[in-house]
Amino acid sequence: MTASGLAGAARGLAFSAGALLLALATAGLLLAAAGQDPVVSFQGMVETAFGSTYAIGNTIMKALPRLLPALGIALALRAGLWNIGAEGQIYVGAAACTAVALFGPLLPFPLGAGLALVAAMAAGAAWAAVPGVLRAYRGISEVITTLMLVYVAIQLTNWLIEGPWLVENSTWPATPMVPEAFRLPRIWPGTLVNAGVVVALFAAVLTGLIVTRTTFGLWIRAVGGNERASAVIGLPRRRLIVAALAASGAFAGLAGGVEVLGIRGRLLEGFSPGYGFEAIAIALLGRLNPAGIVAAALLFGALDAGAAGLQVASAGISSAIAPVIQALAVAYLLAGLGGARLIARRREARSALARAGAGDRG
Amino acid sequence: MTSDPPLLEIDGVSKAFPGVLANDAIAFDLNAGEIHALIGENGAGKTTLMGILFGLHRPDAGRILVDGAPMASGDPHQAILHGIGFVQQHYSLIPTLSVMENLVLGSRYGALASVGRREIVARVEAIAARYGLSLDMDATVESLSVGEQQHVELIKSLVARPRILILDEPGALLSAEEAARLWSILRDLADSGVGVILIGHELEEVLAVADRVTVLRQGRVVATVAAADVDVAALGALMVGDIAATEHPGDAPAADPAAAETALVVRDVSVRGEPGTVAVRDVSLAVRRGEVLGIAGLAGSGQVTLIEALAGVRPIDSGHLLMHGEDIRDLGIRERQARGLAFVPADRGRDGLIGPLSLADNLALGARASDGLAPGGLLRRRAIDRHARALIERFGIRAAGPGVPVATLSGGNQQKAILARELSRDPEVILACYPTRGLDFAATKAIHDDLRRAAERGAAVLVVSIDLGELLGLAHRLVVMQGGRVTGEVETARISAAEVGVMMGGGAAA
Repeated sequence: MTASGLAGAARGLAFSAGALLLALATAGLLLAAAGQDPVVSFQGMVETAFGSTYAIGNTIMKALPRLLPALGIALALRAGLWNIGAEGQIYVGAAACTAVALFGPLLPFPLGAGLALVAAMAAGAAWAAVPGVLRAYRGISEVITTLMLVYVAIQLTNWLIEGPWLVENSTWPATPMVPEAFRLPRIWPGTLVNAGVVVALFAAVLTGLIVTRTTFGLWIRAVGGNERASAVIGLPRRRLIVAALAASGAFAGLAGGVEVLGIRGRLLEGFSPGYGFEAIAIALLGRLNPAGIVAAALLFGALDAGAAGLQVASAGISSAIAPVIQALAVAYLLAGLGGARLIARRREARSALARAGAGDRG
Repeated sequence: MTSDPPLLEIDGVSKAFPGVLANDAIAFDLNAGEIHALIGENGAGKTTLMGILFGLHRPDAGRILVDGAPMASGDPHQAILHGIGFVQQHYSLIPTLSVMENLVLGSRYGALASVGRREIVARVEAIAARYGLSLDMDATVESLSVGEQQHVELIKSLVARPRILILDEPGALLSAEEAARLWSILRDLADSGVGVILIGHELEEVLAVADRVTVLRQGRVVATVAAADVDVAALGALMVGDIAATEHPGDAPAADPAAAETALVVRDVSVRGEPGTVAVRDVSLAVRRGEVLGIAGLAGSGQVTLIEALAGVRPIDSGHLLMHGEDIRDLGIRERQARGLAFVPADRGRDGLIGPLSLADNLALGARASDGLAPGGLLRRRAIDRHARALIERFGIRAAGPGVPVATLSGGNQQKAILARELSRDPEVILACYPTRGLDFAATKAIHDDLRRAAERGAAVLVVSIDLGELLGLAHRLVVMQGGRVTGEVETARISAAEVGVMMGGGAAA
């Protein structure tokens, strides 16, 4: 990335930081209005999210399933495509991963786990490629189709879990546990942090490199910047759209696989409470920048982890305050960006008028 | 105050923008019943002056008087209340609404605030009847031709019954017939007492229509003359000043292309017209190495459809497209590029550049694999940067650096960037559509020089333009298109602009 690119990224993230501070301040006001001492409440939250090694590990693990889909969503957005359906891609990824682990050859670690995760990525990619093809060759908005396929994916996995894959005598619909050889090992003693974190950080670096350092990245940025001109220049516009959405889905599918092999050990009905949707907000808060997305995912993980502590520290306040803070942060960010764009457009219009008046010299 | 003040008087108006004095003590007056043309090159200050007149800018000095009484400046409402109407160059119509819906849209605002919808409909019908503008009021605006859209725009202004009507380059996109119609309407309006200001740069047009002409150059009024007292040459000299001498049609290189090898052959090519495009029928032409072939024709004669089909942007339905003897008709854009084809599209913002990407990235998008910018699909940032700097230098692109978003460049520099990207591959066939549209003198000259150099190097160059002067100065041969067909072919050395004009309008081929 060039120096000006870095400066731009820093400026972009400053917006996100400002939005977060405003969201926390607003939440503080809400807490105060509900008769709580915001300082005590937030202390409880921070304590639960970061107060011990175990707490930090817990925050990281809660960030993980949000981080991977967010990286994919950001990749698609570089191509100007909205992958709203990461949630569904998480589910099909988890299902494919489970299938390989349960029914595939019993390979030793890391071969078996690797194969299962590759299957998760392939499933997520295929699931997202369908809207990609519809968008590229039929002009159907990917916003609608990716979202609709979420429900198909969830029902499909539900059917697998409640039907052919159901384990007997379980209180909650689930598959049998996958063989131990497929499980991702814990890598930080005293915490729940497993090898999935390494996979996610690798993915973050990888998406960054794809976007800035590969021809594919340049081409999808071109399609995102001006689809029509990209076609006139001769870029394979349609294939790039399909590929960008498929790549996006692969990361969401990977999140599903990591969740199965790393945390649950099996496929559970409703295991994702909307990670794929929160990931959209994380991608935006991170300003499509991998480092920013890692930070935003950790923040969402901390809010999730800390919500319980907040609830304990402030009697009568529901842990639902955490998603409120998340939503406020995104709302403030979008409002801020919208405002900035308005100001920029005004400034541009004014200077364009000045240029028109002064003459387009050169 | 004199006993009979002019309808409009601009008295010593000046306006500075950072770094440039856009208007310098402008004096201009307009009488009722007169068509007064305001001409000048891009950047001469016409737009600023009209912006001041319309209240978009507040002048630094000077006043505007209507009927001898000063008008408050910097307030568009004042202009409207004083009966000033503005037919803009870029139409302000909503494409998906019907003609009548567009016309009544303005009914709650400005000069029509107190005029009811029904009254507007009545006025529209009266105006249409009076000027013989047979418009389908229920048709959506997007289904109309450019000329018809301009009629809608004109009616929209006339509904408010302006006393002063400003038209910004109204003839630019019209056919000769449509333009003639417009001029007679304007004359009729003037006869009824309206003062008309016509902004333009087509000199012959201006001389044929206007009573008086005011020439602006670099923010100053150079002269105000009666149209009857000057000819095109004199007006042109006033407009461009001394620099005019550096380019005139005679500058075209006098190669002998007859002996040279044919690089591009178009044989019986037909292209279906989609909505918004003109069909092309059975077009045949050939471009030789080292030759510049111009395609002349009125806007909408099928020349843009043709060149886009040759570039691979739209499919060729029948016929053959041969490059060095190989039929490339069914090849994709990239494959055509690999065989040595380059394309400069008509609309640089829409089709030519990726606005948010950097100049360097845009230039890299046109590079060949052999340029080594991305071996194995991995970008080599330093090589891309070097590649960009070399092209910036070679094509004289003015930019703060290779890393700036290309959308921030001026129009001329954006066009140079497209030329640089396309010519950097040393193409053997160059298709250039409207290569200098909207550019000022210096940028136009730079683009022309680039194309000429490419031809001298041995490339076959095909140029589409509606600017005859440009084609006569650039091309060795001209093909004239009309209604999607080739209707004539001439060597530029043996023909005058007037003769080509006759051919474009459907006259016999020379």
